[in-house]
Amino acid sequence: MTKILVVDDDPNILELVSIQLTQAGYTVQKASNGFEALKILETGYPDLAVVDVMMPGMDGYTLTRKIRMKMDIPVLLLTAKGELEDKEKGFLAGSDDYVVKPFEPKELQFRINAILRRYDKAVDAFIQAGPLKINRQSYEVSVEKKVLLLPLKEFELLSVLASRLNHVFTRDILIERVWGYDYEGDEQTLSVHIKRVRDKLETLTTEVTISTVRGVGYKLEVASL
Amino acid sequence: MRSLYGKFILVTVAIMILSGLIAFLSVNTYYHQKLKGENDTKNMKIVKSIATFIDSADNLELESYLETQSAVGYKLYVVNEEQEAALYGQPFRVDNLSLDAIEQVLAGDAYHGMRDLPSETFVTGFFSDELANTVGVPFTYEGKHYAIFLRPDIKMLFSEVHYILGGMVAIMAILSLLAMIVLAKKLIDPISALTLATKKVGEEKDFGKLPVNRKDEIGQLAQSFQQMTIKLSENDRIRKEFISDVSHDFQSPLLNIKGYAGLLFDNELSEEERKSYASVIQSETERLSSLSQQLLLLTSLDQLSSPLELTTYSLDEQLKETIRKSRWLLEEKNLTLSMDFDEVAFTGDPAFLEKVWENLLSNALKYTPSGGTIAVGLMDTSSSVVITVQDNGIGIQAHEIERIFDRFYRADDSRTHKTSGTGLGLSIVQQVVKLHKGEIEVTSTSEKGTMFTVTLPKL
Repeated sequence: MTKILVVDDDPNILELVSIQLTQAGYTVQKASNGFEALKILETGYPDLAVVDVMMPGMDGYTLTRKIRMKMDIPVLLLTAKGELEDKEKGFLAGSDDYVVKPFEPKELQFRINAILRRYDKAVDAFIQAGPLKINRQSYEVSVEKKVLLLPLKEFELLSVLASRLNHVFTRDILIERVWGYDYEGDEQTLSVHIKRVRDKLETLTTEVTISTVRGVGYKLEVASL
Repeated sequence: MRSLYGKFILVTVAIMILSGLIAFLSVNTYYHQKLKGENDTKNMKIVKSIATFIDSADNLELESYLETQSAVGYKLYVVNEEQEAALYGQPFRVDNLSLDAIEQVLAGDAYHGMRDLPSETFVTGFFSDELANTVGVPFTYEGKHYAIFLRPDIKMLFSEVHYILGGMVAIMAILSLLAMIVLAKKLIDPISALTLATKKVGEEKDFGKLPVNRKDEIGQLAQSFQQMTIKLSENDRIRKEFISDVSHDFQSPLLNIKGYAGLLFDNELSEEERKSYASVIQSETERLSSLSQQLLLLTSLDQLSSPLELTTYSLDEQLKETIRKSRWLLEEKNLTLSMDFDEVAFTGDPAFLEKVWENLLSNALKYTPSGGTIAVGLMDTSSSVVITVQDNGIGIQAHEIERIFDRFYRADDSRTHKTSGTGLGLSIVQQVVKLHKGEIEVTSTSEKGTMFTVTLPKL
């Protein structure tokens, strides 16, 4: 089970976040300040830390730096609204993502899931195929200044195809990579997703296309100029 | 009377008296400065001709001759060497001829009493009926020396003129006073009417007809007053409607909360029912919370002075950040979002503009069905920035488009709770855009989608 360390000096927020994450299926370790958090780190081995920026004693940036020195776990910062410079400071300190308060519980969950997915699959953070750029950290697909935010499955599908240009991926491999081993869905699902990705890719660029290899699967091609 | 009437009349009378006084003083001054000498010369000529006539005539009946002369309109005063005086014509009002003057004339010199009359500010030199105010010359009759002093008998010569002039002045004064009273009434009546009207407006009563047809300042005043009352009653209507909307929008979630909270007391509830009741309470609470937040925001936007705090910042970053916060919502509904942003440093109020993007985006998210697409664009033109938010959702009916910016209006037949929302979002959007001197346009096709275009001029 994934263990998450939550650090916040506000007991109400700490409790609320803990309950929500527990309900989402995580094991939660609570700390009300940086020193407590560092102690738990040594004994509890969490998989991810959620750290509030504004804390008395040791602030979130300092804590993030210390966590990153000791262990290689992702850190998600909770920042107050309107502190845009926090974002840069946070990334400098080595955090992976941030959520601006006040946040919807679902937003926090979405962020945590995204970070954990990234850490699970040791894939390249950035993939480039011709003019097409895929950022696996921010889950963005872009061509020049046009950016596309795709639904998760479509994004995964495109990333897998783009990870090896011109390589033919069989339908089974694609289903396994995107939906997992235990997927028991409709055969049609893959075709539907491929069609959707194709349509959306078209709005970005005509140079990158997904072509069908009959009876086998699909491959991503970049038109040579 | 402390009213304008009294003041008008008082001022009119005062003006008449004052102008009369000033006229008298200036005319008198003119007489003393200029006419006095001429008058003296004129009369000197007459008295000289009389003297010459007496000197040269033979067998003249002096007494009757002088009587005759005085009868044509002169006062004559004759003194002989023994200082015996005789008066022909009406007596002088003041008998103040000096002995020196008499001696001087008897000695053979002319007397210029008119010319040398001392100028006194409040005495009319011309009318001054004094013996000193005469001209005198010597003459010889039957070997004796005499002095003759002459002055026209103003009273006799000009008494009709007196009446005519006096009557004219009196009638002028009375007429102007009457005219002033009529004029004052014409001026004051509409003012009284306006005063009455303001009182009635204060008591929220109908104030009847105002003199709006006059073209003068009072007509303008009446017109602006009428416009003001129309505006006021319009405002009043909007305010009442707003309050009734607000209370309705507060009442219904509160009633729901109350109702569902009551249901929760039941011990026999299944887990599922309990959860669904709790979630109703939760969502209604959220609605109330966002409603009060937005009301607060609207109030701050409605201030007369601009509430904007302008800074120059990166608009594309702000849009990206707003979209980032809604990522989980996109994910939940399997939506695709495309961005096409120019890099723009824009001067505006970031806090308020963020509300604009949030509201436009949350609308798009709300009305786009699962699997749909939202496109957000930011275009930098030389004079303005253009932000577009386009969805392929349910769209807005043509007849609803003009109402979507109204407060508390919701396209999905309001308060049916099919979609959450306060109905305030778009009026906030419009208000903020207006404060930035920008424009917002909507184009929509039912079942095809909606596009909002915000154009903000670079300040």
